[in-house]
Amino acid sequence: MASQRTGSSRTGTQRGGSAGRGAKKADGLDFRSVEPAPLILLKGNEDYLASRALDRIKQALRAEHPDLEFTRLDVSAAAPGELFTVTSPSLFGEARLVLAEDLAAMNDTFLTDALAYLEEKPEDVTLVLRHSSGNRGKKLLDVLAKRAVVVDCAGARNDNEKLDFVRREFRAAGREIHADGARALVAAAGSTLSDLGGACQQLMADVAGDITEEHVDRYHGGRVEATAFKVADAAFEGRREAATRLYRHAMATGVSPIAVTAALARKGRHIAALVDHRGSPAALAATLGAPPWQLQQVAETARRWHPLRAAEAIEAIARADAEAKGASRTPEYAVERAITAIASSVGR
Amino acid sequence: MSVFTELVGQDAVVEQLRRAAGSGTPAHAWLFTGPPGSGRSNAARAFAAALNCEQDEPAARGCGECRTCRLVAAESHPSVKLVSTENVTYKIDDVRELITTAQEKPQGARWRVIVVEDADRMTERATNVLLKAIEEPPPHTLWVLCAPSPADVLVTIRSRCRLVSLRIPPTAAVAQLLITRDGLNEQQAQFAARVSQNHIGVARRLARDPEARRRREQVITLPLRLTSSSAAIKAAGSLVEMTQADAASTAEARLEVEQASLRRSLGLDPEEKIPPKLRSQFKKLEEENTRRAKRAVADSLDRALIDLTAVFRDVLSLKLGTGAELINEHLREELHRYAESLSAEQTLAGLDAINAARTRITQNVPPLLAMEALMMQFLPGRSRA
Repeated sequence: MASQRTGSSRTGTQRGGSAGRGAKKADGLDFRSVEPAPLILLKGNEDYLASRALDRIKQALRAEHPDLEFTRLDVSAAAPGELFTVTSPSLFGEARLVLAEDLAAMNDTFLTDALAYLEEKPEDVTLVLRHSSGNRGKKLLDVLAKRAVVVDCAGARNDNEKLDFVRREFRAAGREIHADGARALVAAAGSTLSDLGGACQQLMADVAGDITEEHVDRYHGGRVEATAFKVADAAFEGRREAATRLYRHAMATGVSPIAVTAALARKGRHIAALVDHRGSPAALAATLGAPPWQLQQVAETARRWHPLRAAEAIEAIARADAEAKGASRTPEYAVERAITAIASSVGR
Repeated sequence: MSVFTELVGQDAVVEQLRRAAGSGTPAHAWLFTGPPGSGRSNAARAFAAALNCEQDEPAARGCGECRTCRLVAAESHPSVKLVSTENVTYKIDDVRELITTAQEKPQGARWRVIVVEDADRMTERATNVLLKAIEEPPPHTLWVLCAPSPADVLVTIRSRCRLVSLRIPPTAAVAQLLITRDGLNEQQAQFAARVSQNHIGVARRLARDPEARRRREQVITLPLRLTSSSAAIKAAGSLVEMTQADAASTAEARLEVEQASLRRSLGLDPEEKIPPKLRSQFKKLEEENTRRAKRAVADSLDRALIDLTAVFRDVLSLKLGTGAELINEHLREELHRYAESLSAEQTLAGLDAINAARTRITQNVPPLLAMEALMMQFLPGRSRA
């Protein structure tokens, strides 16, 4: 993987430095090193990174022009000429920062105005455009790709990318985090980039010197990022305590009980289908409409199940699902009971 | 032919309605109750026709031949409004609209009649909107609500209505109707009436459509055939998928027709791009369509579950030697064998499981999960008794 990031000719402003293992190819400038420019495009679906980039731009501009005028433009409902109204020279000549959000939802009026604006380029104005995804207004996007400073605001898709994010955060601040520390931090606070970013900032502010796993543990100890799928895995593998613990973690971090029953139902379906299945797994996967690797993953677990026990498990899930959807006053407890029931029915 | 002819096996109700229609001073609000298939909405329509029938002689009202009777039968009489919903529940705005309609004078008829064909699908909030309107309608307006049982409507509504209870028509009467009206032969009619458990509409569909018969056979023999957990999961999957595909294709066809007619009324060419300003209207059609498809899936699975209930009823009957006529008489042999493998308690547990699945589907449990849980209960040698 290329260690030097590719980008426009403006990458000169970027701090050099090698991207870590598993880092994605960046599509533009790092948000941590963006400098004010007349035209900036924040490209990518991660709101947190976009807001960080905007904050940085705002700060830099404020330092130079204390009377900076900031305007947020709703491009989905822009009126004709609105863009020119907010960017035209003012009486006292304040510097202006305009944020156009979000190009994916812009209306035709704004598209026409923006194209005209690019021809004129007024002075003293910083126009920041946010584009989350999609191809709407291809013409404008093409022009911006050439003429604007493009800032990469793509979210992290996997743990490696999150790890890379953590490393860059610390490096940008001139701080060190140990490898185990970074891994522990991703496991504990990696559900969203904004959580992760917040955690990094907090650790840097509170801890002097290098950050180790111990520090991470002190701040985020015992907290595990639990998803509905992890809960389902633990329950069907018969790890009752782990399943309950993960489930409560999941509840505490905002996973809904319905998501858990859905994950349980999927897992239960695969186990019940595999438990006494004879014949090719591929054919079974096709009938169930599941990707073959999913079935392969549960095949091992299914061997520890008995068909009648699986029937009980699925019955428990169906009941819990009804209860989680309003048949019970305590949806959280209803699902927890089902998890306990499932985890204790493992065994042939 | 009188409008009441098709209300087979409901002599007491017909008599009550005839008298009310001829009296000139019928009650202002009626609640028709009866199990599905007993002909609630047909009875309500017949009543609406009889009320407005053009015959002078009160006893002869509901002739079925005058213009009014025919218009009501065709659902196009201006003063008789028939409302039903294709969604899971009524929308409150639709109900509010009814109240306005109720205030209008009847056009070319004695009474303005508003028939709500499935009052049980009104949410509590929607029903409350109706309270006042039902209690004191204008002098020429009559409300007729239909619901499976009086308990399905709010007590405050119930107490404002005159109750009409329809019963399940006897098999012989349903078979006779199928013979005279739909021209089936004796044997077909008997079979259809029996396996549909005297549900007239279902009986007719089963008698006419071989595909529906085949599908029913497949569903009801499921408990007899399932031997492995893997097969149970597959059976549930294919059953749900089949119903969903059916519902989707019907819905799709209907959506196309509706979109075409919306394009016409908006003055768009069939191929023309929809301008952004009108997109919301098309979006609304699609959303409506999704809701309808959801209800269609729930209804059709419910029907399958009722058919399964009949199987366990038969098994229980054989088990206990009640000597009652079997609903699935044509499967007597297989049912006998199946009955031997089960205890009476297990049969009852099976009935409970079916009921649980029916309830769950109404509670928004994904149909697939509910059916899987049910099919797994049919596995032989299950430990729960």
